[in-house]
Amino acid sequence: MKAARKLQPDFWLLVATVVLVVAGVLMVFDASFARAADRGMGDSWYFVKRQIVFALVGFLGLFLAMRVHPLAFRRFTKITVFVSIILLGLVMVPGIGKSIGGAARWIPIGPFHLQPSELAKLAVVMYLADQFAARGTAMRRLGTLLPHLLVVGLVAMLVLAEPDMGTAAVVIFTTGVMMYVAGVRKRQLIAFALLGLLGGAALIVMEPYRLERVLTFLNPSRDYYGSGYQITHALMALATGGLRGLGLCEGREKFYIPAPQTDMIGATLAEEAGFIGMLVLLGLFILFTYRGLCVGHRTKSTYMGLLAIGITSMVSLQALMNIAVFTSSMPATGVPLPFISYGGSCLMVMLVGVGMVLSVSRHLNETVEEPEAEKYESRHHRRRHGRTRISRAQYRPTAKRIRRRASVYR
Amino acid sequence: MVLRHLRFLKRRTVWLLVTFAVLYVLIAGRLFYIQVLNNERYCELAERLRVRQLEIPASRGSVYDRVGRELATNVPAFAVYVQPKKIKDRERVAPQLASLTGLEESAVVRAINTGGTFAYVGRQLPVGVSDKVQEANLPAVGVLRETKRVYPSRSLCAHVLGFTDIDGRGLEGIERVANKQLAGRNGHIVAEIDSNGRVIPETRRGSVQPVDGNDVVLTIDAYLQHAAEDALAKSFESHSAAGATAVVLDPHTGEILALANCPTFDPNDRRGVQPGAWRNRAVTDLYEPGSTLKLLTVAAGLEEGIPPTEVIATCTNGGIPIGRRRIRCSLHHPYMAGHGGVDMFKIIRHSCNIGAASIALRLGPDKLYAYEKAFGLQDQPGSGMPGEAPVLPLGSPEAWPAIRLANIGFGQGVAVSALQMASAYAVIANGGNLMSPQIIREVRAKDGTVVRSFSPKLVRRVVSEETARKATEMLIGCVNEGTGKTSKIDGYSVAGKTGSAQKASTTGRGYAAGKFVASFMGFVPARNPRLVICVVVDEPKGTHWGATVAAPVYKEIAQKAMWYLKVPPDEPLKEDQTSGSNRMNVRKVNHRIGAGNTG
Ligand SMILES: [Zn+2]
Repeated sequence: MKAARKLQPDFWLLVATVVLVVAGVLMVFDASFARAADRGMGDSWYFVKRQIVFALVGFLGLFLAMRVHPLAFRRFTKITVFVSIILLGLVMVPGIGKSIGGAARWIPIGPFHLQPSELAKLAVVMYLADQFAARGTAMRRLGTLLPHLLVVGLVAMLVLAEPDMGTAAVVIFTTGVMMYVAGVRKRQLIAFALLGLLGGAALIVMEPYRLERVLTFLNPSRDYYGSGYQITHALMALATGGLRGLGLCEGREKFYIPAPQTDMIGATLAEEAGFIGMLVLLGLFILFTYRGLCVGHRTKSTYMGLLAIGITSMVSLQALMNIAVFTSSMPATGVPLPFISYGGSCLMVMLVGVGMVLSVSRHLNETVEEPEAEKYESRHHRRRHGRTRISRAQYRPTAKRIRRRASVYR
Repeated sequence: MVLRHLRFLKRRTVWLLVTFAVLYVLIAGRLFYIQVLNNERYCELAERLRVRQLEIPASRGSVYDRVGRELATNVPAFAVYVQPKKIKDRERVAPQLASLTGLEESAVVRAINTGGTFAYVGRQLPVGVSDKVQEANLPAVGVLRETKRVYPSRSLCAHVLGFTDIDGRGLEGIERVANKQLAGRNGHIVAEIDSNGRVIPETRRGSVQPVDGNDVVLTIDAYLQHAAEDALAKSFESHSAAGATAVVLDPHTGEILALANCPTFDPNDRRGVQPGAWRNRAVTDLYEPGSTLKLLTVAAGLEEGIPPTEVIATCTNGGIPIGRRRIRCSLHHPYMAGHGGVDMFKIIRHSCNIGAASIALRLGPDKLYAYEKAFGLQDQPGSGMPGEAPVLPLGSPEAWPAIRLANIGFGQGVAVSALQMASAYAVIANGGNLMSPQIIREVRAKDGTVVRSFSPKLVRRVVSEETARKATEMLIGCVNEGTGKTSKIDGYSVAGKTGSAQKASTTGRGYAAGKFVASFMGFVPARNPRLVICVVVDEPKGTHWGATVAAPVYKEIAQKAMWYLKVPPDEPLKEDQTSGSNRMNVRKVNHRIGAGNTG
C-alpha cells in the first residue's frame, strides 16, 4: 500500500466560507453598532470585537481540522457524542447552565457562553457518518437503523428540553438527509418523516407559545406587540430594502428588531443590500452547498462522503431555515444564520465542521475499509450473485491502522 | 470495497443537490416576492410605525411686574413614560421604576396597567430623575423633555397670575386670559424613531421651529403687591376673617399696582388648596359697600349744586321715618344723641346715614341712579382679569320706593366689587375721571420688542374737578377728625372713608346677625394722590368696624408705598422714629422679593 497523495483543499468551499464569515463580521458590526452602546455594555464595538475573536479562533480550528486526516475525527466520534450529551445535561443544572429569556442554552465560561447544542449538531453528524459508513447497506434494515435513531432522538430531546426547537429541527433534518444519502429505504424515510411531522405537531400543540408562533406565522400582524413583533419588523426590513437596498448602515429596522445581530441579522442585510444582496448571500450558500456536496460525491469512502455531506447539509439547512423564518415562510424557530449571525459557539463549531469537509477534500482519493459493511454487502451479493468476498479484519480505529488501511483507489 | 453503498451515496447526493437547489430557488422567489413584487404594504406599515411628527414645545412666555421682576417663568423638567404593551416583566419594572423616580409604586403600576401604547408615569420631574431613568435603560421606558411653570415668588400675586395645567395651558388669572400671547406656537420635527421613541440619527425629514410665547408685563408692582399682601394677611389672620381684599390703583391711569386677596395659595403647588383660595375676590366677589358709598352720594349732591356747608338733615338717635320704616345712624361717643344738624363735611366725617339718605332723597332716584352708573358701579370694570362678577342691577329707578332710594344713599342694597369701589374712589382722587382699571401693561416678544402696549383708558368724566376737590377735603376731614383717624400717616395728608356693612343674610331677606364687611378706602397723599387704596375684610370676628379692621391695613400699605415711591411728605412730620422703623421693614420686604426671584 502506498501512502495517499494529499490533494489541495477545495478552493471554492474555502472562499465561500471566508467571504461569508467576513460579511458576517461586517453585518454584526452594522446591525449592533447603533444599539450595542446602550445595551448596558457601553461599547459600540462589543459584539464585533467578540465576533472577530470567535472568527479567528474558528479559522484556527478550521485549519487544524483541515490538516488532520478525516479518519482521525472518526476516533473522537463516541467521545464527542458523549461530551455533547453531558454538556446538554449540564445546561439544565441550575448554577451551571445559564438561561436567557426563559431558555437554558448556555454554560458560562469566563466572559463567554458555551452553547452545547451547537456542538451536539456536529456530534450527531459525526456519529451518523461513522455508524452509517460502518454498517453500510445493512442500514436498509430497520433493526440496524433504529438504535442509531434512538441516539439521535436522545440528543434531539435534550436540545428540545432547553427549549431550542430550531436546533432540534436542524438535528432532525440533518439526520433525515444523512439517512437518505446513506441509502436508507424510501418507505422508512417516509415513515421517519411522518413520525417527525407528528412529533413536531404534538410539540406545537403542547406548548402554547409555539402554537402562538404558528398562528403568527400565518398572520404576522396578528399580535404585533407580542409574538408578531420581530417577524413584522423583519418583513418591513425586507420590504423597505426592495431591489437595491438602502445602502450599508442605512437600515432602520435594526432599531426595532431585538438583538438584530443574532438570528434576524439577515433582515438587516436584506434591508441594506436589497434583493440583490440577498441573491449574493444565497449564491454564496449555494456555492458552499454545491462544493460541499461535490466533495461528498467525489470521495471514495462512505465515511468521508457522509461526513462532508452531513456537515454541508447541516449548514445549508440551517441557512435555509433561518431565511425561511424571517421571510415568514415557516414558523419562527430561532436558528442563527451560519457564519453571519453573532454567536461564538455556532461560528466556531461551523468553521471546525468546514475544516473537516476541507480535510475530506484533501483525501478524496483514499478508500476506507468498512469491514462490517463489506461483510454484510458480500453476504448480500453472494446470495444474489453467487460470488464470495472475504472480509478483512475487524475495523478498529487506531491511528496506525487508519493510515495503513487508507490506500489509493484506482 | 463498499461499492454498492458508495453508489447509493453518489446517486442520492445528486438528488440532494437538486433538492437544495430547488429550496434555494424557492427561498429566492419568496425574497423576490416580499422585497420587490409586493413590498408596498410593509413599506407603508414601516413608514407609519417609524416616521413621527415630534412636537417641539414652544417656550411659554414669562410674566413680569411693571419694573421687570419675574413673576412667572419656566424651568426645564422631564416626563417619564412607559409603553405598557411592550412591557413583559411588569413585576420587575414597576418597583425599579418607582425607586428611580421616587414615585409611588402603585402609580407606576397604574400607568403600566393602562395597557396602551403610551402612559405617563410621572410628569415635571427634575433633571436628576430623568438622568437616573435614562441610565437604567429599562425596556419600554422613556423620558421626554418638557417645561415646568414656576412662580419664583411663590404665592405673591397668585390670584392675578393664576396658574396653568400640567401641559402649560393657562387655567386661571393672567395665565388664562393671556394664554394666547404666552403660549406661542409649538414647532415639530418629522423624523424616524426607534423602538424606544428616540430619533434615529440623521433621519430628520423636516422641521418647523417653535415660536416662543410672548412675555406679559403687568401693571403690578411686586413691592407694593408684597406690602399689600403682608398688611392684608395680618388683619385677615388677627380677625379670623372669611376673606379679605386689597386693591391699590394709580388713580390717574387706572393701573392696578397691587391686588391682594386672602386666603391665598402657592400656584407652584396647588395640592390641598381650598377651591375658594383660588378666587380673585377683588373682581369675583360682590359685597355691600355700606358707608364707603356715601362719598359717591355726596359727590353727586355736590355736582348737582347742593352747597357743601348747607345743613341737610338733623340726626337724632331716634332716626327718621321713611314710609313705614325708620333709618338710623349707628351712634357712639360723643354722638350718643345723634349727629345733630349735618352738612356734607359732617356726613362724611362721621358717616351719618340720615344725612346721606337725605341727599339721596333730595337728588331723587333718576339722578342717584345716573351717578351710580357714571361711577362705574353698574358696569363690569373690564380690567382684563378673568371672572369679573356680573353686575347686580339696581333695577329701574322709577320703581324704587323711597326707602330703597334712602338705603342706596348710604350704601345698602347695592352690590359692588372691591375693584369697582377702588375705581370709583380714583374718580375723586384724579379730579373727576373714571379710568378703566388695567392689569396688563404691555406684551413683549422674547427679544424685548413691544408687541402690544396698553395705554390708560378714560371711560368718562363723572364729576367736575371742583366737586372732586371738595369731596377730597371731606375725606381728609374724615381721617383727621372723624371715623378714619386710625389711618392717619405721619407726614402725609390722607383721604379715606370707613365702611362697616352688615352682610345680607343668605336666605335673601334682611341682614345676617353678626356678619359684617369692614372696609376702608381712600387715597394718599390726599391733595396730590399717587395711590388709591381699597381694603375690604369679609366677616371679621371680634370687631367689625372699618376703622379697626381695614384702616390699619390701609395705613400700612400707604406708609410703605409712600416710602417706596419716594413721595415727599406734604405735612410736617411729628415723630422721626416711625419712619425709621418703617424703613427697616421695607428693607426686609425688599429682600424677600429678591430672594424669591432667584428661585
Ligand atoms: Zn347721623
